[in-house]
Parts: sequence; structure tokens; C-alpha cells
Amino acid sequence: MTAIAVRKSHPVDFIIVSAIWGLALVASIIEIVRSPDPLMVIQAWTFAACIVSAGA
Amino acid sequence: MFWGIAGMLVGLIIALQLAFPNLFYFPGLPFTNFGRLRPLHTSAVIFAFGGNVLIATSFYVVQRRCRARLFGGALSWLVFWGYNTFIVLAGTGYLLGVTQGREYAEPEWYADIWLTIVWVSYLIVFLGTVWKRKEPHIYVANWFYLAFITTVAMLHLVNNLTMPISLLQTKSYSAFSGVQDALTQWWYGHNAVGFFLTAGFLALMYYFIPKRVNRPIYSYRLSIVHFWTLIFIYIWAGPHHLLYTALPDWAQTLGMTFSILLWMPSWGGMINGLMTLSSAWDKLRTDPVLRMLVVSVAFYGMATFEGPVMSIKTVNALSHYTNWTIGHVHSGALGWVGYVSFGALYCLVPWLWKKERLYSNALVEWHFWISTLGIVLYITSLWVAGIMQGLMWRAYNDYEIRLTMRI
Repeated sequence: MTAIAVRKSHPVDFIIVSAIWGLALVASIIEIVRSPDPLMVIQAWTFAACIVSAGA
Repeated sequence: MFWGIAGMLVGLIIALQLAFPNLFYFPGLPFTNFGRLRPLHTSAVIFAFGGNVLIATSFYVVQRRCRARLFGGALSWLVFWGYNTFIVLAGTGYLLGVTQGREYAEPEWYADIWLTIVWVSYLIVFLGTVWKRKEPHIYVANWFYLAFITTVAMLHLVNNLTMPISLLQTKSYSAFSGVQDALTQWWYGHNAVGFFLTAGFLALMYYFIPKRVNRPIYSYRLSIVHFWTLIFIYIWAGPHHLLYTALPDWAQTLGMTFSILLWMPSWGGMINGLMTLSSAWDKLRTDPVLRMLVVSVAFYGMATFEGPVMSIKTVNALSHYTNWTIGHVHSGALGWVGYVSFGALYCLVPWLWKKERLYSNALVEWHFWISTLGIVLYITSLWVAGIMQGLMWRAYNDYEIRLTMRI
């Protein structure tokens, strides 16, 4: 019999990671909507795309 | 691997731009400019390829040598995705022309803040795993990883102390100015070499060579001496990047002195790595992966001899601003970091996927011989070109005037 190690993620870790990910997404959306700097808008779109795809 | 291919491809493109400027110059496409592609190349190979190798191997080694699962559960995923998000943000920023103009620390303030969050998470995962270890002793490779993680955190925080012009704009200004700014930058820059490209990859050497040879490290005591002397001395060597500049002379001499002192611990580590093969040298004939690891240590020895020599003021007066420096960097980057990384990856992939062996050892042989030939040609040609360059400048101009003009 081979024992299969199951990795359990602690709920607190999951909440912290989700909170960081969520705040990052909010920050990027604020930059996309409010920033007058077109370079910042492109960077914020890039960041948001990475956050969303990694989160998914 | 993806970042490695991308970074080396960009390196090839900018080399072609230098060799054939008329063919590879596109004024209508600013993102193809050398000034934007060069940081893309350096960051892609150092931080994207090298950084991912370090994170991957550190997560593996710390679990194996501590006999404990990674601490923090989902936090390790944040480290992986968060770090690669930083890489994408930094790389696209370079192409757009977003930079704070600090070599190897080009990303602007928002990317720096994101990296700080990711790096602190990395430190928590690593330290937490060490904390809950079931093995009483902390193996030397984990000491090197820890030095790499903590020092890079400190370097990143200090060198990136900037004030953004607005929270909604990309541009920021450094907290430092003048020669203090230059010194902070090269304190960071050289220790990025010392703690990212040296201490981090020495951890690979101390884990993967003994594992591959199936022998203990030659001298564990020497490895501890290597560790403490290296981390103590390296942190002072940065001013050698600023010889013959406005930096006070005593600081330049300090940087040079500590750079020369670095030779001994570096060679102590090299000897330790090489001598681990005692009574197992025959394996070099049959195992190309081990050969790659061992040649990486030989390149480490060569680059850490050449570095102190180049930091000597009289040598630096000839070598600085020439292609010799580029050759030196690449003997370390390709010969040492590249080979130890690929050696470790060739070990790790069959272990992780529980395979008997790699898909093809013959391909590893090809990889080894083609790249060795390439690296040797690269270094020797840039030695000749760099020394010639320095001598030609000196032939028609006093070097003090030349250096003053280039500051």
C-alpha cells in the first residue's frame, strides 16, 4: 500500500492569500479607471489580467 | 524554462543590434530600442529564469532537508503566481519605457511594492518550514537559501526607496541623490550578484552535487566557513563598481579590498564542491548531468578569481566600461548560474515525476558540449575585444579624461 500524502491548506492561509489577491485586483481597477497616465493604465490592465488568470 | 528561452532570445537580439546596428534598428518601433530590450534581457535571465529556479529548488530542498511540508499552505502558491506576475509587470514595463533607471532594479514603485508582498510571503513560507522541521540540524544549503531571501529583501527595500509623483502615475524619484544614490545602487547591484546569483545558487551546489554523486559534502566545516565569510565580505564589495568616480577614495579602496578578500571564501566553496567528487571522478565520464554541475563549480572558481582581479584599481582602469566586463558577467551567468541551474533541473525533473532517468542523456551531452564551446568562445572573444578596447582608448586619451567624460 502506498500512502498518499494529502496537503491541506489552512483556512486562514486561504483567506490571507485571497485578501491579497482581491486587494491587488481592486488596486489595478482603480488605476485603470482613475489614472491619467496611459502607461499606468496599460500596466494596470496587465497586472489585472495576471491576477485574474492566476486566481482562476 | 519559458523565461530562460525568452531572456536568452532577447539577449541574442540585442547582441545582433550591437553587431549589425543598421539591420536591427527600428526608429518607428521604440520597444525594440536597445535601452528597453537590454533590461528585459538581464531581468528575464536573472530574475525570471534564475529566480524561478531558486524558488523551485528552495521549496524542494527545504522540505527534503527539514523533513517537513511547506509552511503556509496556499501562501506558496501566492509566491509562485505573485512572483511571475511581477516578472510580467516588469517586462512589459521595460518595453513601454517605464523604468526608474536603476540597473537590475528598473521596475517602478508599484511593481516594487507588489514584489515586497510576494517576497515577505516567500520568507514566511521558508522560515515557517525551517521552524517546523523534524530534522534538528539546518543543512548548509538552507542557510544559503535563507541568506539569499533575507538579504535580497533588505537590498530591494533600501534601493527602491522612492517617492511616486502620484499614486496614479508610473513615475517616481529616488530618496537618494548624487553619489549616495550611486553607492546605494551599486551596494544593491553587486549584492544582487552576491546574494541572488551566488549565495542562492551555492545552495543548489551544496544540495545537488552531493545528492548526484551520492557522497557527503567534502568538508562540512569548510561549508560553514564558506557561508559566514562569504556573506560577511560580499556585502562590502559594491563600491568596486564606482572606481574612479565621485565616490570618496576610501570607499573605493574599501570596495576593492573586500572584493579581493572574497577570493578566498569563494575558492573555499569551489574546492568543497569539487572535492565532493573524491573517489567518484569516474562518474564524470558517464553522467553528463554531474559533469554540468561540476563544470559550473569550475566556472564559479574562474569567475570569482577574475572578479577580484578586475576590482583592483589599476586593472579596473583598463577593464571598466569595456566588453571584458560583459565577458566576465557571462562566464558567471552562463557558466556558473546556467550550468548549476540546468544540472539541478536535470536532477529534479526525474525525481519529481518519479522517472528512472531523463528522456535522453545524449541530448544532455549535446547541451553540455555545445554550450561549453559557446561559453568559452564568448568569454575569450570578449577578453580580447575588451582589452583591445581599453588599450585603444588609452592609446589616444588619458584614462582619467576618458572616465570623466563617461560619468
